Amino acid sequence: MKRWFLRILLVTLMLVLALSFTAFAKKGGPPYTVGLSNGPFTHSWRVQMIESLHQEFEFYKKQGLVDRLIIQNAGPDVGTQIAQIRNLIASGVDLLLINPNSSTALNPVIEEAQEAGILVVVYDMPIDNPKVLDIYMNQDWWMTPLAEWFCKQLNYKGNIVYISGIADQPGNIQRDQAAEKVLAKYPNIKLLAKANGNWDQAAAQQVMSDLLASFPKIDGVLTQDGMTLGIIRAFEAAGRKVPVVTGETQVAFIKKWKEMKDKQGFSTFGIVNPPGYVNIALGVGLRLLQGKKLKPEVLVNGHVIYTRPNLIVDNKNIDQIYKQYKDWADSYYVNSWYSQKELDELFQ
Amino acid sequence: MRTRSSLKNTLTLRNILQNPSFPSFLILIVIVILNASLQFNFFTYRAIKSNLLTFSPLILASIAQGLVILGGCVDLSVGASISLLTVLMASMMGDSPGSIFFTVLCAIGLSLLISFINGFIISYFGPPPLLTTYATSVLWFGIALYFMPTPGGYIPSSFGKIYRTDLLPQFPAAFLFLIGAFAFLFIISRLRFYKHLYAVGGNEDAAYANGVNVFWTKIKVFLLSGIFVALAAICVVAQTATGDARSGLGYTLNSVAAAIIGGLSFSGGKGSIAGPIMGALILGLLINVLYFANITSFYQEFMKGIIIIFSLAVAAIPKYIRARSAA
Repeated sequence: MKRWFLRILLVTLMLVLALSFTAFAKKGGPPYTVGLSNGPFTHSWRVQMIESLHQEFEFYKKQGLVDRLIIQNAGPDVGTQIAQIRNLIASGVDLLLINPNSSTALNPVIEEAQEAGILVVVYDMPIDNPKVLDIYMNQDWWMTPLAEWFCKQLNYKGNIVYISGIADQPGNIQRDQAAEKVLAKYPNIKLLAKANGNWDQAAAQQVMSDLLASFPKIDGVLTQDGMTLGIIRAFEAAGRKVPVVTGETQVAFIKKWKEMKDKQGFSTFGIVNPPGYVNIALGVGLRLLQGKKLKPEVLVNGHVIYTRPNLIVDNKNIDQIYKQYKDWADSYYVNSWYSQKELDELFQ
Repeated sequence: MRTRSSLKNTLTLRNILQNPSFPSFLILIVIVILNASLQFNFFTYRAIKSNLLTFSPLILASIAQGLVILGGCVDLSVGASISLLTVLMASMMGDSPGSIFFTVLCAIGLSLLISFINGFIISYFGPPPLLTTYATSVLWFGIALYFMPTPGGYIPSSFGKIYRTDLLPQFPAAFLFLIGAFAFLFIISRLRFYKHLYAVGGNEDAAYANGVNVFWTKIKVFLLSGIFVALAAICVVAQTATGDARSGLGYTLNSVAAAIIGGLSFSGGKGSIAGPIMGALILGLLINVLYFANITSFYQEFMKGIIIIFSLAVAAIPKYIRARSAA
């Protein structure tokens, strides 16, 4: 019986192989079909990323530049992402945007896409391939203003702790280096301890509580992305006064920020890490398809475009930001992306 | 143990319905029809090639898992072994054909060593295979992470190209690779060892009483599965051109899912090795069907669950019929 099945399976396989035809032709010129291959879809940042992409896509659609958007979420698995990229290739997309699950493992399948005449733009993460256009936030440009603001608030002296993100994450390593560089300029600021809050409120609250138990005098807490709320809660739980602390731009914290500002004159400083930056990849890709050329000085190492944060939240605009986002779910982020003019400035 | 039966007996409707692989065969046909009707170029060479390139690692990992499950065990270290092998290959391989060949041999050697350790612990000390291989999987993953904490290493691009470029017109090396693996499997299935495997998987004590060397049969089945794990790892490396301690992790549960969809039973000794192959094809085609039906990839895991439950339910029907007719 098992042989019977094996035989049928082999025959089916042979039949399938025998039924082979020629490749299909690709069309040129607009409207273009755009594919997006994303990794995990379990984090609200990624959900918002997709929503922003839909919004911007409608704008290009009205201009007649694009017709169809195909979105695929692979989860954290590289193999699934490869399979989905192959499907996107098979659907004949013109532009393929990839938020990669690995900085190296997608190279062969990206090559397959390029061989099929598809323009590939990787975004959000570094990719190890000089032939692929890669667009992501320069974490140095992101972290340095935050650290500078922090040191200035402290009048360049005092005892501080640093709550960092996920220890071995490449983006986080760059942020740590940028922070160290700024702190090294001010010898009167003493770093008591550094701990990892994994970009998670609850985890940040936990490590902050531990640090509060060990250090009786903390003048400032340097932190980044999604953890300030947890840190403030740790101070409140310990019954201690909230010191100078750097802010973040998740909606939950924006609400807390506004409340604390109105009640006790609290002030902080947050830099957005916008989910909407996927639209920079979309805008650049579509312009390249139309035959426009990037300015040579825009490209780093011949294939990377660094993006810079384009929205800063501080006590000057917190009221307006609060008004804009107060009805949003707590897990969402203050969002922004490059305007058409800012995108055009990247091109000759 | 199965006995040789005449063709006429084999092909009765009742026998076909009662074959544990029947539900998966049915699902496979349905899913192929679905896919072909949704994807207009499904039967073109290009699409078939792209599909087979994508599915081959899971097909091979599922064969490895299927063999072990037939023998009444389960191997939760399949994924971690694949990861470790990609790390090994990415740190050894150079550009010359000699070094590529040597690296592939080393990978097969390491895989055999890994599976021998798994098999030996289970056979000699007798702990539950589930726990043993879970424990060793953590070990292999740890070793892989130790040697390559971040993905990297070097795989010459020629290695991936050989895998996907055409040897003959419309015949890439990957097909040869798969056909070779199937042929090897076919030869194995004719050996006496294969009958012993079913015997040990079905009832260890009865097999022992009938003079089957249970100890060696178990070790042999792990070694055999090790060969297919190595082949799967070679496919993964050819596709990803990198060593990555996390690249294999998805294969553990997917290979178990493929085996179950393919009608194998955790108690062992039931079903045929064609089952996991069909299970792997079903899981692979499922992604395509969801894709071309414009259903968000969100529902992938959900659909996978539904199909597993469906095949388990259909597999239970023959038992139900038998119970009814006996009453």
